[in-house]
Amino acid sequence: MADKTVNITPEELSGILSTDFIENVPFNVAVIDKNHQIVFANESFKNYFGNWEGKYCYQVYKKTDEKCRNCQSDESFVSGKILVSNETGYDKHGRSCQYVNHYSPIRDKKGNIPYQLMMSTDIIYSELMQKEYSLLFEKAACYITVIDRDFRIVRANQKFRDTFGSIEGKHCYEVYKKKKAPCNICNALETFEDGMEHSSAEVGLSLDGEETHYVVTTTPLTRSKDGISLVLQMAIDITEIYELETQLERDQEFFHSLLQHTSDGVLILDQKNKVIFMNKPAQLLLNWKGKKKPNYNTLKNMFPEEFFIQAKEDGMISDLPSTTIRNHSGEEILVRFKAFEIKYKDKKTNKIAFITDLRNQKKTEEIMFESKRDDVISETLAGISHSVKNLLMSLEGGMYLLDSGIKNNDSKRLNQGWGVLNKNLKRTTNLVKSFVDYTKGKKIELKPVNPVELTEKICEYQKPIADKYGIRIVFDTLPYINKIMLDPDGIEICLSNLISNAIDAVMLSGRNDGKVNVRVKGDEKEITFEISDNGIGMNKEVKAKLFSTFFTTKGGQGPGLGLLTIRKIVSEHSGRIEFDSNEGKGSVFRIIIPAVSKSESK
Amino acid sequence: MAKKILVVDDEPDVLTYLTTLFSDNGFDVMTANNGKECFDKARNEKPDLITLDITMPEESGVRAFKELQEDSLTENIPVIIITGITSEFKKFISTRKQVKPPLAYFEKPIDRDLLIAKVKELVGV
Repeated sequence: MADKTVNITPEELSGILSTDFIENVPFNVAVIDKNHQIVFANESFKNYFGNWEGKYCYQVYKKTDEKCRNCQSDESFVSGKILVSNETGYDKHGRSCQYVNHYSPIRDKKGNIPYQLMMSTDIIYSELMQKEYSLLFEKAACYITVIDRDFRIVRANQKFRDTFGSIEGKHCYEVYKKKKAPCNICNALETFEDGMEHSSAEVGLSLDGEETHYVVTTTPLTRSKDGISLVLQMAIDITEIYELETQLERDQEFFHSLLQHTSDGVLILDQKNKVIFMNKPAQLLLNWKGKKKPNYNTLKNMFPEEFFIQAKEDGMISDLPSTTIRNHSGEEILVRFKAFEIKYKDKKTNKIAFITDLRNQKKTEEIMFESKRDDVISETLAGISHSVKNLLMSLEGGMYLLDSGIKNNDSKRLNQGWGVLNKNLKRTTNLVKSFVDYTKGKKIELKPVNPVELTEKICEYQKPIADKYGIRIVFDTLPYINKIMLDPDGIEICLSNLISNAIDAVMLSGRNDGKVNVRVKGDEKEITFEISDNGIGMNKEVKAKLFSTFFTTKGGQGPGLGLLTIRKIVSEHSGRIEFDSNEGKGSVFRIIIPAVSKSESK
Repeated sequence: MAKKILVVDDEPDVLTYLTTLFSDNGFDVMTANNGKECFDKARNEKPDLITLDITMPEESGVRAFKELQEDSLTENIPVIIITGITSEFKKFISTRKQVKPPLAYFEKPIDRDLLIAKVKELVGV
């Protein structure tokens, strides 16, 4: 298809151009004829756009069979000028590419333009890179500045400007730290001097005047013949981390001091059972001297074996209200010992032991007990002397009646006197007996007892007395209650006393539908004996004094030791007494005993 | 006319004893079992003297004594305390300044001659 007017054949042209120059020039070079058919292309072109032989330029550049609408090449053919344009096409893999194309007419000797030289270079990569870096600089999540040798900020990214404010004509220390003079130690200065990277942690002031903590790195950016001309400063904001760190430090200090100042001994092990903390009280208790902490095997000789067992679901290892540890000097010490495990995200992290020295507490308890005992003794003596004084007064009255009866030969008065003496002799006997009752139960003897059978028996004993006054005793119980550990004699004293009191209360009310209910209730935890009546009930004054020594509502008939004795027996069963009463309506008393009763022998 | 004495005590034997003793010494005697009865009888019968026990179940002698002191009808009746317990009454007197102390105080068991002498002195026989 060559033009007839052409003086240079394609073969001759190839000869002219196929030099090293054409092949090595860093452009994609092609030559087209007026019909846009490619007649020559270098290797670089082929590598970039693919095979060209026998193809038209648009087929190779644009991978299309249609000629371009605004064909620059046509223009260049017509005008004979060199043209340049930005083009978009496809490379040999079909990937979109942008390139700059130069269109240069090739003239023959007559000045005709039979061919055109097309040289293209890829522009997309460098443009993209530039854009990327610019974006990175602006939007990076750290503070980036470029400073010159006078420490003036030449450029700063958006995050920096947002946090520290405008930079125009300002020095870095003015913006970063709101200071008027350079810092004493300056990373940038060092980088300017030695051309190396430098880092340090700094505190600046933000636009809002808030302390801003950051770690800054300075790097040389450009060099001139005088050395480094620009330095890049990159800083990462660590304010939040710094605040967390401070908080953490404070918390650590708080807990450390808490553990250090508690009066309990505290010992903490890490997950490898290494002792990592031991407070002063623990050191004193264990008599452990020196900085080295005890190891696991040493602990095995000191701590109760319950410390070394597997922790329960809730982390508790053991809680021993009273046990002994053996300290470093082999001394056995009475302590409360509590150990538990701490977990973080289901992973065991620490084992902790709290040790309370019980030696002093024991002493305090003894002192308390003694002073209480003194109180009880003086109260008891006052009570006894009151009872005895009343008895003596009555006995003296009897004697007076007897004496004056004899003197006046008054047989009525003699009889009266004898009666009084007799009655008070019985009262004296009763008083002594109640002392014996009270002190007799000093040591209760626990044995397995069926509480229902025991109560039924006591009710039977009381029935004749109740019957005499027309009072019904109604016994009511659950069908079956397990045997529990009781002192049957002690419980009998309690129940007899309460039933007898109830009978008295009903009697005093004077009603004719008098009733005493006796109930036994229970579960696996505790047994309740309940005695209720529809008698006279108690007023506030009586309720308040109910358990004081020698308190009685029965005139001189009893010394007032009954409820006190009951309370003593019940407390020896680790139980408790409850009561309630409505004046005029009746009273209810409950003795509640734990089903697993512990003996407290003191 | 014989002087009237109101004997207050919750123990029947003590009442019998004092009633007999005072009768033998020429007094008319009334009795009361508790503080409330004491106050009622003191207002209605106007005794010339009252002997009062402190520890009684219904209403204590301490309260009865205070009531007697506060009522214009009974405030001038001389009261002799006869009791087995000393501490409670002494405490009551020491903490209530507005209450006059009782005119006499006897601890059980009593010295008969001293009691009779005191009673006679107080009622002016």
